[in-house]
Amino acid sequence: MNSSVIEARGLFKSFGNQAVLRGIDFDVCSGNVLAVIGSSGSGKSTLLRCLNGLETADRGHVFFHGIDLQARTKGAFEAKKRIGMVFQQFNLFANLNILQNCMLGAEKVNGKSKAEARDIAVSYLTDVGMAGYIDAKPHQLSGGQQQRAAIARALTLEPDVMLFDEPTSALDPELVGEVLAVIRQLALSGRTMVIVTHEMQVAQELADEVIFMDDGVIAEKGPPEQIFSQPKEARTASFLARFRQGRFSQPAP
Amino acid sequence: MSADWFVRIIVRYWPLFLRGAGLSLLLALVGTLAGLLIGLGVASVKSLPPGRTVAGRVLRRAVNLLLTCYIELFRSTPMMVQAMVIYYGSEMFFGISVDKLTAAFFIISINTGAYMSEIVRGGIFAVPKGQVEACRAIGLTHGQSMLYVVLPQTLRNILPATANEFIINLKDSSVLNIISVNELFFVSRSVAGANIRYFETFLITSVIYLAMTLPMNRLLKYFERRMDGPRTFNVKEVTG
Repeated sequence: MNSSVIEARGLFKSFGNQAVLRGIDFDVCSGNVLAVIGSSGSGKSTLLRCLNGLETADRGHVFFHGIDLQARTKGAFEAKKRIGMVFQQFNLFANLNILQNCMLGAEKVNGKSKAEARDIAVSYLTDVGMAGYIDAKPHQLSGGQQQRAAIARALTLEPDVMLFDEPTSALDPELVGEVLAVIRQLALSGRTMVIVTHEMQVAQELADEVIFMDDGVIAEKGPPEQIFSQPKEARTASFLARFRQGRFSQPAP
Repeated sequence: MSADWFVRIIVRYWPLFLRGAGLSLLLALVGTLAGLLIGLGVASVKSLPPGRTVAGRVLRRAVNLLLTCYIELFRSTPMMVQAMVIYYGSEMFFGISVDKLTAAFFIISINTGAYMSEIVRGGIFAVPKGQVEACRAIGLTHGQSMLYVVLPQTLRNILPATANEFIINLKDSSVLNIISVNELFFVSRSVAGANIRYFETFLITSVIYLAMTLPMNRLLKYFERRMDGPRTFNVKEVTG
């Protein structure tokens, strides 16, 4: 039986009088891929950001290997280093080239020597097919290339879990494939991942469990086969129907 | 007015002009650099994340208030007046007799610092927030993310404004003649007075100021290109 890497317990979060999370509970087991789907504004991104401390929940706890991430302790700060994050907008450091982007964490956070950090960076950049671009500045690359480099940057810290916040939503349609290929490869290699996505196909193919969020709560949770073919909740069914309609109404490429 | 006066003044006083121009240049350079450092310090403190304890928050509020007072005080009074108050006041109230040159460097630095604080704050603000979040996500401390990611981009952002400050300082160093600092304006006034040739002397002075400020634009472009790095990159052979 797999052990839980992340346990979310009773998460509440509001921005002003806008309640974004209204009681969220779930576990992410080691080696599993959890996909979070739902319409815009349903609280998906906020939930993900609570998992690595970019947002602090008003109530509730996030445990990472049993360590309470909400606590302002040294342990919590150290634990957060073992959670990798990939952003919708890539967020590469604009003043550094791709190699430096990927060396910074290994060197300054994990205390590796320059040579070690370089080796680690190059090895992960090779995995995502970006080893040829180590001298490039982020703005010189396409969105897909930037996102692949950003994934490599997160991996250089050798995290126990990877969080993806709509990793392909900011990409041109033709660039989505190369990023998904990298994510697919990570999932198949047995990484623990939480991925917030609008790519239903990805959720269906890669996820071990799917969470459908609606209006700040988990409306439905289950294995992808069940969620996508036999949703129990009416709102899941209507979301999926709306989504498919949107997809099919798009002109064929 | 006659043309030979120009020649006569230049031939006779060129070492004086040169020394005056040199001091003006030095005042502007030191003032701008020291002001930049003050600005980086003040803006960094102002951009610290809010304190975690009540005492920390109170301390932050107090420090911020003090810094705001400094900025507003020096931005809202003329540097000429500041020079008089600081130069004469330091002796009267604190019994420290500073020599006028030290006072001049101090005044131009602290005055520029007030402006630079706001410029740097804007420069920090212009660094996309997502990059700061990425810093936190990979586990960098606030200090590390400032040092490696935010401030290098801030420096690039504020380069044009800093060059602007330098030009302003080069010209405004002239107001320091009020405390008898031997900068270019003070020297020119002495020369003009000695020969009762105001127009000729100050026309020469204008040309000297122009000669110092005009190359700044070129210099700025050069520094901008250097900070931006190469425009292109080579795709490396991928091995393994």
